[in-house]
Amino acid sequence: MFRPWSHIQWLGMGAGLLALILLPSFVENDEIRKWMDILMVAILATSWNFIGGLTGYPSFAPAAFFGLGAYTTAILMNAGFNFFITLGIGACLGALVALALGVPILRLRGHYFAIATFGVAEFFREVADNLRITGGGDGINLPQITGGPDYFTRFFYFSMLGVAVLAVLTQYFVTRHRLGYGLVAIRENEDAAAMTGVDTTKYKIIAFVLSSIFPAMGGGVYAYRAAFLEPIDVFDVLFSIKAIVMSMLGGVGTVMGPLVGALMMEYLSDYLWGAFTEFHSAFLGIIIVLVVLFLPRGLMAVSQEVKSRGWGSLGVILKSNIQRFKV
Amino acid sequence: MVYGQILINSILLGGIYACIAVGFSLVWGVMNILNILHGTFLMLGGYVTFWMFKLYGVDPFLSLPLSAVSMFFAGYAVQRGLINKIVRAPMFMSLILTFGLQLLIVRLAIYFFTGDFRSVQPSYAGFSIPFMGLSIPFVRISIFVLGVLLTSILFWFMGRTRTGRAIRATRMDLDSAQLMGVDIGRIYAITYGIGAAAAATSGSLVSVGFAISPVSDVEFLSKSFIICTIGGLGNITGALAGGLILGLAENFGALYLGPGLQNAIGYVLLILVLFIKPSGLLGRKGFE
Amino acid sequence: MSETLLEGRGVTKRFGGLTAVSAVDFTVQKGEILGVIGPNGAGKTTLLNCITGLDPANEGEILFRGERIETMKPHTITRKGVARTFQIVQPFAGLAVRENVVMGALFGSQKSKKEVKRAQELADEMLAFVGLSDKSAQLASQLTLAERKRLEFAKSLATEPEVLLLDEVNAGLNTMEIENAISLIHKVREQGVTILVIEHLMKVITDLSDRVIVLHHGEKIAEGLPREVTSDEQVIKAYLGEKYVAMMKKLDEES
Repeated sequence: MFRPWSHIQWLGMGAGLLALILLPSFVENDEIRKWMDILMVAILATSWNFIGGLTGYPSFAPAAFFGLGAYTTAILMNAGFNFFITLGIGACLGALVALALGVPILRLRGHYFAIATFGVAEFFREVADNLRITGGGDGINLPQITGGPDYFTRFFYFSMLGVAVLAVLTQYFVTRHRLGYGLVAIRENEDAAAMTGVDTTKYKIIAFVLSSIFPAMGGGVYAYRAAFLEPIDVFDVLFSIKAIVMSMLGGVGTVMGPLVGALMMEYLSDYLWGAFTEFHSAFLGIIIVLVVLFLPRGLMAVSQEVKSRGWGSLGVILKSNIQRFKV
Repeated sequence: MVYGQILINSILLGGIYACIAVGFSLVWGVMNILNILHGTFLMLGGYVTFWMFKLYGVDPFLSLPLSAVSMFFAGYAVQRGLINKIVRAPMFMSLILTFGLQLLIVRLAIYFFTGDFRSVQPSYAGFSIPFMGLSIPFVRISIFVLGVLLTSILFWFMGRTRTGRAIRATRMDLDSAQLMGVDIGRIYAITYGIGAAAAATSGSLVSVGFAISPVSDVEFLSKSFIICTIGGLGNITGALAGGLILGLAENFGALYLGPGLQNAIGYVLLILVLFIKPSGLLGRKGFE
Repeated sequence: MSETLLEGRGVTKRFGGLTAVSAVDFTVQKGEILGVIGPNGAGKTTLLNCITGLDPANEGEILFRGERIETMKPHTITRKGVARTFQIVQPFAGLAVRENVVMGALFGSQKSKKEVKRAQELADEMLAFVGLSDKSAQLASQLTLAERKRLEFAKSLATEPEVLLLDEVNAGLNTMEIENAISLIHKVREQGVTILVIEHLMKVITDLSDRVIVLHHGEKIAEGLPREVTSDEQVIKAYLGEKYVAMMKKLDEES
């Protein structure tokens, strides 16, 4: 299932990270911003993987925690807190909320769980729309970052990168230890997992908490960068959907899958359809349909099959994918 | 007096809510699909009625059949061509698939119809019927009556006709139904088509009494979530009770907490019910 | 003198108006194989569900090594040393055979908080023990029924149980496979594991068990050595019906 990364894999990851660190020295601010977006959705997808991919609970809560983190940073920075401290507080708050909600919500299964998490995100949005402290529907301003565009583009880029590295490393260590095995056991058969000795309630809650921390931090970075928040922007169900679809595109339940998915989707959609920004969501819709039909187990699984059977069999593999689940 | 009027409004709203949710409940109950496209079919049905009225002056209540039939075929095609391919996949795949289609269709709808809110305004839009000192808007009571009537017809169909029975048999046991010679692919497509037609019908009704835009689909979808969760899946009393409870909670909630939190009340109700009794207040245990 | 490992006192389980298990007392002595028999619907599996915490009993006490466990959660009970197999096998279908067993080794035993690596070694031992070593890389869903039943065995054994509860391990198997399963159960007992086995085939249970209890409509109607129990009139009635017993009596009288 999860083999520890080999030296070569570690080297590859290290090289990738190095490339990301050096990237701002070589490219324009626009390009850096693009990668910042990729990192943001990579954070969302990787985090979703804890609860959705490993544990098999299709959560629509990423948007809830993203928005929670964003508003935490906004409100606290307006109160004079340091940006990084607000990220930490946002993460803790996200974890606490996940803990409190997780206890009742994680008793639900399947669609009921999906609806409940969706309901939580929508409820948060309605609340943010009506509270005075969040500025209600008019939105809320954050302090402007000082310094020139070269400086603050890099500042936000590296903040996002930091959160992403944290998320990926956490996922790596979780999947290589008892915890990860327990989560997968729950996904495969929850009753049998309990009979094998997995404390299913505890493990599910841990997974839910893990899946809340990093979106909350990412939301904080997003907020400072945007300098202005509206409930409808940050509690957008699209954040949740993107997280799910990118995990699926790459391959659910693996560390690399969500990263590959995020990279592919953001980069491709930007380059292929950058000119039609108006239709971004329509293209996203088309990608979703294609991924579900042809790549239900993700690009990683297909690439492995291609590796063992050769490129010539790609058509057969895709065809068998679409036949797999039909009525 | 205020309470009486709110009560009347709640009941009228509850009836239309039940009508909105019933197709969603059917598709979920029979195929275990959380159909994100439900609100989209509803929105499209509303636009059929709107354009028929706007372009050709057809009375909204007369264009109902057109709206229902066209969305039946659209739904049939979607299920046959796409969703049937992944019916046996883990359940959230169908959810994601319908979400992808929803994004696409809504975006196209915004392109073709613009994002403006539209409402059908027939000559009788402003009429009210006085009733024991209260006033009952004519359009809303018509919608209410039609909604409840159509919902009843749907349940008669499910209970009494051959196709209806095949659908229920499929719901109970997919493999046995297949062994009995039921063409599952076709039954699923018909079921989904009926769900879409029911959505379109309520969309047409909504376009008269209320207003629609391409993005209002999410609002109706959320209402369907809430109603089905409150009332439980797959029975008419559940849909009616769920609709009524939501209508009452929203109207009285707005009275006491202010209109801003009207929508939040639905979600609180949803989450509460899920905590207390996940199968719905009136529901038996359906699919997980 | 033998030591009581597992004990039930007045265990009762109701589903709505139906009493599936009604005031059943039982004891399992350390090292023995206790058979539980009864016709379909007698409440055998429900009893197991009560013991393992999957479907807690409404009344009565269940003691494991003198400690009351009837209100504990399934995973706690497993970690204390009570493992089970399911009549309808419950593998982690999407995982490899070896990983299935690793789960048992990782989470089942309370004795040591295990590392993944140590759990994998234990899993390989268990697979060798049940004779599935050559299938360890296959997906659990690709195994035959008999193999899946052996996988259930390996998975439960990897939790290092003191008592193993076996639910109809032979259902759906052919004669050859049943013989294999029985010899496997004996092998497990030789390892020092106490066994409670549920069966509805009389023949199998009499070969296997040291002692037998018989359930009928949720009540314990007989208890004793296999030979005693199988000649008990009430038991025969429960299995074969009143008419059969009356007919046999008539035949006896005529001869």
